[in-house]
Amino acid sequence: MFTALQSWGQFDSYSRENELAVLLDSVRGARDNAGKENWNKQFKKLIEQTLNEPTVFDITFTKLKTLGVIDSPDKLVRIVNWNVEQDDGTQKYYAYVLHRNSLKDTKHKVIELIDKSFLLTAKPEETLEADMWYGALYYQIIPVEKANKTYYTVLGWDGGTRMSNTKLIDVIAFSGNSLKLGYPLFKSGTTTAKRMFYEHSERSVMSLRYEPEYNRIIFDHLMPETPTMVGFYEFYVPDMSYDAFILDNNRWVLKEDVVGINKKDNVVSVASIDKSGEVSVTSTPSKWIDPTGEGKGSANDVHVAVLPDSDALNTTEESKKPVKKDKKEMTALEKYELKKKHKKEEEPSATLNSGKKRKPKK
Amino acid sequence: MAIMITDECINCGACEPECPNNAIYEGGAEWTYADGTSLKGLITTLDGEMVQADENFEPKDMDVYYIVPDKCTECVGFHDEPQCAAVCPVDCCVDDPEYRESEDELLAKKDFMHL
Ligand code: SF4
Ligand code: SF4
Repeated sequence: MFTALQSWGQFDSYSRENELAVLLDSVRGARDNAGKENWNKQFKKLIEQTLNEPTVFDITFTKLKTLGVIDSPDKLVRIVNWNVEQDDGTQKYYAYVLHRNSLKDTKHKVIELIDKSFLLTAKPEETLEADMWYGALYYQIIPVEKANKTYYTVLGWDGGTRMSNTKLIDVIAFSGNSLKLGYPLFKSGTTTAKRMFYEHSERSVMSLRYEPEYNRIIFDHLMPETPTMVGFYEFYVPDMSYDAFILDNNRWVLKEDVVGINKKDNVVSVASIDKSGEVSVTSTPSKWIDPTGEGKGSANDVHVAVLPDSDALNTTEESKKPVKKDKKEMTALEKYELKKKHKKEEEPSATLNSGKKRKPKK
Repeated sequence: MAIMITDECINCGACEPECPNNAIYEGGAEWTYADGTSLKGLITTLDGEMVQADENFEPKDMDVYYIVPDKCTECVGFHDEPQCAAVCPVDCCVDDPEYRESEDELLAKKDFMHL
């Protein structure tokens, strides 16, 4: 903090955000791993400095669209998190966890999570320290209170390999100056786990979200695409059923086959990056619109396959006659039968012109 | 008497979240009086010792889960039976013969930790 004040004078979060945004855009726009690493080093240095500012909990970071910033509902924990995609499609993750003891606390701790996925098993089951992290992007924090201590359940995503992605649920707990990842809060039958991983095919999308109204974390049940793929998680896909971890007595208890309920007026945000590196976010209602539903433009359309003689049909005397009112109400089948009838009526002339049936000239 | 964990523990972690006093720690993890209690700042323990509530103490076991006898109340004041013993799949949470306390002593310990 002291160095920040020295070099910046009065801390100005507005210009600092701008500066950080330029650096992060450079990370995103770099052509190769070396370029990304170089820009990321500079970005990391400056964000670390910023996160040590006493007012950091009030900074919105809205200009940094590809930086994940999530707050716990009690506003005591903030996770600042980003990824850098490597040239081979794998991801490198960076994260800082900010923690303060109360809202009045003017001194907060900044703990860096260090991605050491290369030293860990793919799905580590043990309690982990901040400097031994599997690497992920977290998108939600759900506090669980127990005996005057708060265990922060986090939902996250790991882009994994080119073949699979992973959604995960973990627990962050603070003890003195240190942070621990993983806590035995997840009960499935008689077993207890410290964190949960759900690896699935890169081609599928798995939903894992917290529903405060039901006090549960609901997620897609995953199944191998075929029974022979059991254990090959890159071939696991959602099977349209849902499971949930329900908060029961300060623990998450697994319940299978729960009923998923859509939220009313849900809005989906889609972020895209154009060639210049500009990020735009568009929102659209997450509603399925039945195209043939009542009142829709296409509701009365009856699609009839166009037959090769359609044009000929249109030029017949019959078709030029004004159409009788009740004909408008014809079903697709009736229309088809009518066409067949016309075709039959025209057939004699067609046969006359056909070379095959013509009698040979004498 | 406090409860202890024998070395038959399989490190499943099931007991840790059950403890109402946060008296159970993973092998190798440091423990504090403040964890999961309402103790703050400088405290005088029931033995008359002066310590900081958030002072880190050495782990009592490096390999398997352990119980801090100074924090275990055998669940008195919270539950009818020791919760750790109730959930342990291998029944390795047993009475600790070294720490024998009366019901009143256990209740006093509970009151000391939770104001
Ligand atoms: S008996 Fe109760 S208080 Fe003691 S360690 Fe077990 S769960 Fe905790
Ligand atoms: S429940 Fe039993 S086996 Fe599991 S960690 Fe606790 S003492 Fe060990």
